[in-house]
Amino acid sequence: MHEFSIAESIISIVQDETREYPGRQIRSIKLRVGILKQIVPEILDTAMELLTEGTNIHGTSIELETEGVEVSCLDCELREIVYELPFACSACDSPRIRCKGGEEISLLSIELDEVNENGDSGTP
Amino acid sequence: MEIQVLRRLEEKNKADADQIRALLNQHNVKCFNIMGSPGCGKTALLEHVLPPLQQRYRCAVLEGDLYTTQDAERIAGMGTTVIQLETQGSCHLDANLVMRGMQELNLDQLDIVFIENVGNLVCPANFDLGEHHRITVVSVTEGHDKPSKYPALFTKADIVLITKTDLLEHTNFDIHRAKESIRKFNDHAEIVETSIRSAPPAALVAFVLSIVD
Repeated sequence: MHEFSIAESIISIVQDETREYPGRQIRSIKLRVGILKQIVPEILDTAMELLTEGTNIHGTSIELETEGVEVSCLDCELREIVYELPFACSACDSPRIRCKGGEEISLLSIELDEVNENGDSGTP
Repeated sequence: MEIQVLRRLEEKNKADADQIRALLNQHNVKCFNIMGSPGCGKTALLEHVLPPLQQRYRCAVLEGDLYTTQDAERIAGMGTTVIQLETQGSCHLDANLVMRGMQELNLDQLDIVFIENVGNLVCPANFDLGEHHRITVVSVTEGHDKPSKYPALFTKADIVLITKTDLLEHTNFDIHRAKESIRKFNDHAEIVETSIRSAPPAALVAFVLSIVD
């Protein structure tokens, strides 16, 4: 349920980054999420919906780009990036693998309306 | 229109955590974050490592709990300073809450602070609490597949304790497979088997002493 904390961080960054554009509806937010974060997209959507009610972020869509894990096998030469939790080497099935990465979560970009609710750009 | 951002979501918590570390360093206090599932033995481990450590060092515990002060009372019963961090149902501690706990401690009078995280295998891993070292606990009754299913709790651990090994014969827990799974995501942590029923967790005491001595 750390999705609620994540949603709070998203909202805080979005508010910070869109301060110059008051009243504009946020259309979508793009995130890059490492698979080790074990984020459940549906719960993140629910958290965003609940926490943004009455704001210009409400109703935004969250786009997730997945950051994989780099796997290297100790028993064969295989090195690969995988996007699901790895249990064994995909080439030789050895459980002796080493995994790196997939631990970060970043907000990449925000898409917002060209105009605010009054139909102007809202900027001086 | 699109605004390019590229900011890490953890940045605020990380800034708070760095502030805690700076505060601890200023007072020469070492801090350990203990993580693991509910019932894996985090509080029991503390009950066993505090007496030998307290012979030489001044210890305090920040006790994370969803509700109730039961764990905090167990620790306080040993004469250890304990601050309750009640998360009111939230499944993890964050650096902001831990900072409030640290501010209640007289850090000048302490050498070691343990943070007992909320029992949970997923969420606590995501929050740097300003600790210097991470201790991850997994018990044999949870099953050897847990490190594979919840790798994030193990990636940054400095020591992993496999607890309740006195119950091994009653479970199908495969210690070799559990260790192999931990190694997939962490090739540096010391991995220790322990049972407080049969012996005090000497390896954990030795690990803490190796940091503070």
